[in-house]
Amino acid sequence: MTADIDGIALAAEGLCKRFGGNTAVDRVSIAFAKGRLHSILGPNGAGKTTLFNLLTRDLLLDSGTIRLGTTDISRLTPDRVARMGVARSYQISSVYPDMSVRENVWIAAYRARGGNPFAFWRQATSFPEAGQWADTCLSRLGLSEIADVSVKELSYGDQRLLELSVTLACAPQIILLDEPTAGLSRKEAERVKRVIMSLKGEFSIIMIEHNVGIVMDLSDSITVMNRGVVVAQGSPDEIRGNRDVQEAYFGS
Amino acid sequence: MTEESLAASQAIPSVKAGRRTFALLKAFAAIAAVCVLPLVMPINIATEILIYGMFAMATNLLIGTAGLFSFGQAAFFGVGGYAAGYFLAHGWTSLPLVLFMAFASGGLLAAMIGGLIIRRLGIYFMMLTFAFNQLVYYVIYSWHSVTGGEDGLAGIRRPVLDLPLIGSFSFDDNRSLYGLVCVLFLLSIGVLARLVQSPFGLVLAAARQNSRRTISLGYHVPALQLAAYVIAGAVSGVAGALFGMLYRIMPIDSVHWAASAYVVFMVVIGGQRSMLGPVIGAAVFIWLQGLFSLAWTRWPLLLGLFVIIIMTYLPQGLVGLASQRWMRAIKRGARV
Repeated sequence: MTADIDGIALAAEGLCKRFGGNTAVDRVSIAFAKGRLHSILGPNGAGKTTLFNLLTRDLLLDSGTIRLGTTDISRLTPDRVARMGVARSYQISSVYPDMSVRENVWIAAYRARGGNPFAFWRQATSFPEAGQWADTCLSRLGLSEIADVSVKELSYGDQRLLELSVTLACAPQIILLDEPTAGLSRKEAERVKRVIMSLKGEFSIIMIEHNVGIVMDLSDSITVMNRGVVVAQGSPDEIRGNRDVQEAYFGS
Repeated sequence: MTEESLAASQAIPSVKAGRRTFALLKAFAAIAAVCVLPLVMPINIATEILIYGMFAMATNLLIGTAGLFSFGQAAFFGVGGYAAGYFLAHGWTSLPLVLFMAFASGGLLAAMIGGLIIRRLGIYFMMLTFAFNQLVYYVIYSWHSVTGGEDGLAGIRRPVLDLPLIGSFSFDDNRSLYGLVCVLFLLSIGVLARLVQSPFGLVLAAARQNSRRTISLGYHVPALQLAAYVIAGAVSGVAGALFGMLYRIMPIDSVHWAASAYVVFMVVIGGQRSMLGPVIGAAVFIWLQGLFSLAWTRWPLLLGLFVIIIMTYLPQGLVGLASQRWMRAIKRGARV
């Protein structure tokens, strides 16, 4: 990649992560352009989610550097990285089961709107900015009607949409989506695809996804990983025509 | 019924009204109960119930709201009691002074222990709270010259409240001490209930349900948990001070880990999802303790059996059961 530094939202160089004797991510260098949707493809165990966890600092690096714009974030804590504008969704739904849909989004919105988490004496309802922002994010994903439903009663598909809504409520610049359509019916996956389409351009999006159709339709560029290393990078068309990729991904 | 729910703007009106009625009823019931309590039982027992109610509510800020299973809360109860007791036994009897000493020593010890262990998760956190509790126990046990060692700290005098113009007010009478305990108890309910519904309480509850997610939303979760740990320690310290004033002695048993287990039992019996639950748990626990100890010398066995039955069949505790019934009745009423 030769893109100038101004156009790069997030970049990693020489990332390594070992678990025991297994190298999950092996000297991965990757750059994500601002305002683009960049997908990461690869078979199970290729190291995609580990790469995500390194980028958001959920996991400690063994070696390498990560830059957010021009800032080195390799040593920062994950909550710090989140406050700098990196939001993510998880592969397994990470919603709060004992709360309503609105409360789930409110937790993210309160922080994003500058609310002080040490406000011991403030009523949660007396900070209207957070509530309004939460409602905006809910309505964007069409969840307003079920805002007061308990998360325990939601379908899996709605939980995935809620997770996206929570991610949006972080008011991020960069969004990392870990398999947003995993476990969804074709119809629900279509809905999530439309949502992601609508987010394109507004945010820099990095997406792990197994549904090749969705990846090809949505992505501006694609990185293919296998066994912890980058196998190929390029536009959807380049990737489609790449022999190595077909071997790595389809195992033929 | 969760204490930590945001006001839902589009909730079913009758259910919402029911909730508000329920909250008001709870407040009135709390005040009425503390007034009636000494009429139906010896005043010492009533005082002890409120003291342990305070202790259990503070513990439940950790267990119920933050999901931090601390089995070492007696350390803070004990240290608060010993600190206040030491002053009271040595002639410093000013009420604000001893209450402040109890609050500060409980909070300070919690800040020190919490600072070391708050990042440990699950069973490791639990074992460390337990270990630090025993550490504090043995320090108090060995420091005989100050703490009285295994005999406990004796000679604790009741405090005096000096008010300008009005004059000084002593708590030598058990009824006036009960009044003081009532005021501090209701104050704790008010403060802790407000805390649980504040953004701080909501984010703590979020971290209980999914700590990693809450961090990825940009919250420095360990700092929030440490704050909760310190607040719980400080309130427990005040409860400990009141306990020492009540019996005019601070027994070494009050810092033993078994006392930490008892307060967790109180929380479990009453229920973790409400403010009143742990108080009801404390009342039931103390009442049963008295009842069983009269019936059989091996009474802890019966108490243990009772706790097992509650945990198996009523995981939300007695208050959880009651509020479930209540909500069902309201919904049935709304349908008719």
